[in-house]
Amino acid sequence: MSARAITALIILAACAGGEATTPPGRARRARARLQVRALREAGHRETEAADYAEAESDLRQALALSESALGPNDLETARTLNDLGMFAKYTARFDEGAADYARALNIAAGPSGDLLLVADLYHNLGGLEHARGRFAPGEPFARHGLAIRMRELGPDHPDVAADRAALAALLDGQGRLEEAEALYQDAIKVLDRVRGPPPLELAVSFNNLAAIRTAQGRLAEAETLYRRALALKETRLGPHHPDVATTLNNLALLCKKDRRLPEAAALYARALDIFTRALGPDHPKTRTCRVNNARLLAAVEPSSK
Amino acid sequence: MKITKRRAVGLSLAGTLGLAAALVAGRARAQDVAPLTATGQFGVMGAVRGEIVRLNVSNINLLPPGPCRATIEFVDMDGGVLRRPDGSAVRRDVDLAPGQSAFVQFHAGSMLGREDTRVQFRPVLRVVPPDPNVPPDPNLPVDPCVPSLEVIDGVSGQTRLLVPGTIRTYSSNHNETLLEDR
Repeated sequence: MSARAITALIILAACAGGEATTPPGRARRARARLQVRALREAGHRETEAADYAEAESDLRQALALSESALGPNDLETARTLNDLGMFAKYTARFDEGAADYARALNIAAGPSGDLLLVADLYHNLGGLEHARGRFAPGEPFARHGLAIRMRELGPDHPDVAADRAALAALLDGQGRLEEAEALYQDAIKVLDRVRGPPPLELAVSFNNLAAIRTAQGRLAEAETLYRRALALKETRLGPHHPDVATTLNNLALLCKKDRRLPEAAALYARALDIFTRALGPDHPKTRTCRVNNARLLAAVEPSSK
Repeated sequence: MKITKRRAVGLSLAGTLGLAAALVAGRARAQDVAPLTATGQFGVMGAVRGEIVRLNVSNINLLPPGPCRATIEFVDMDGGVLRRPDGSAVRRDVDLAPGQSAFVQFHAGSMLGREDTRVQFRPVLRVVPPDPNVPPDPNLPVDPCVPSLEVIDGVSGQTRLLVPGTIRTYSSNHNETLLEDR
């Protein structure tokens, strides 16, 4: 047995020993709460790493433990439901996600609730609509989340910046590019100043702003932004993550518009491979990328004949 | 040594439970502990004569990569670092290997003038960012430096107030544009 494993066992034994000296009910709940948080933390990491099977297993365990040991209306249960809703969005199980968020909101907005969790939930409900391509219905959710968080944390907090970026994506989807661009720029200003490793939301904002630049025909600016997004994502998430594939797909489309077809083909091939492996062949993102790739091949083949 | 994901998750759980052990042990001697909402950031707080204020930080990873490099300190209402009567700052720079903990503390009474009854302060944990050239291990917590704050009765040693820290987590999704070639 390694020294680290022995250390872990000693700590667990110390934890178990601590229980005997405190009121049993309180100690049991405190321990359950920490176990739930540890499982949620593992679930977050696995979701971020696109290891969805592991994430679901840990998050479901967290929910079962939270409901049984802390109660169905405990805030920890609401937080776990929020995590499951996010997981459901990334795996395109949208109805399931909506049900998880609705249940969590009912708890978080209750008398012993948590306003910042309410803001998270509205942000995420907007995100669910974004993922479904229902941009207009998502806008009020995103605005509500932003308003709560701005009141609680002030206008320059990175979480508020992330809310602005999320709202921008919903406006962008409705073709309101100028409003979206202003919000992305505001978000980038704040997120760029965050200490430590750059937040993932910064890379997402670069990607989304680049998509607007592409639509405006400003391809050189768009490419710079895509490459910044890609570098941040590859450092943070590794080269085989579906979020990396999203930017590869978009960059491929830019290359196609710029008539750099072999480069576009290589980028689509890499993106499609990542999406298929990480999300499966039937995920909406995989399907979109496959159709894009087929359109490129159709454009290339006549000229190569 | 290659660490499997399941094992790393298990050890991370053990690390979190380790923090629990410290907290539970702290509570064992104090019936009047009032745990607050877990957070890694702190607002302004106060203490009175006879109380000791202690800011702990732990590197909850049981595995490399480490260390947790951070500064723990207390600042006043203007943001200036608190100073003891001898002029020394209530601040400590720490370099914690996985599993290690450290603290900085002050006696509230030593900060008070004859007429004062209460010292106001804000605990601060500043983590030195990890090397940006080293990709993070997705199996380990994003931020392994976890703080906790205690207000201790200087006579009995009982913990009067405990504010546990937590690992930074992501609770909001992001809305990313995936372009379709129309």
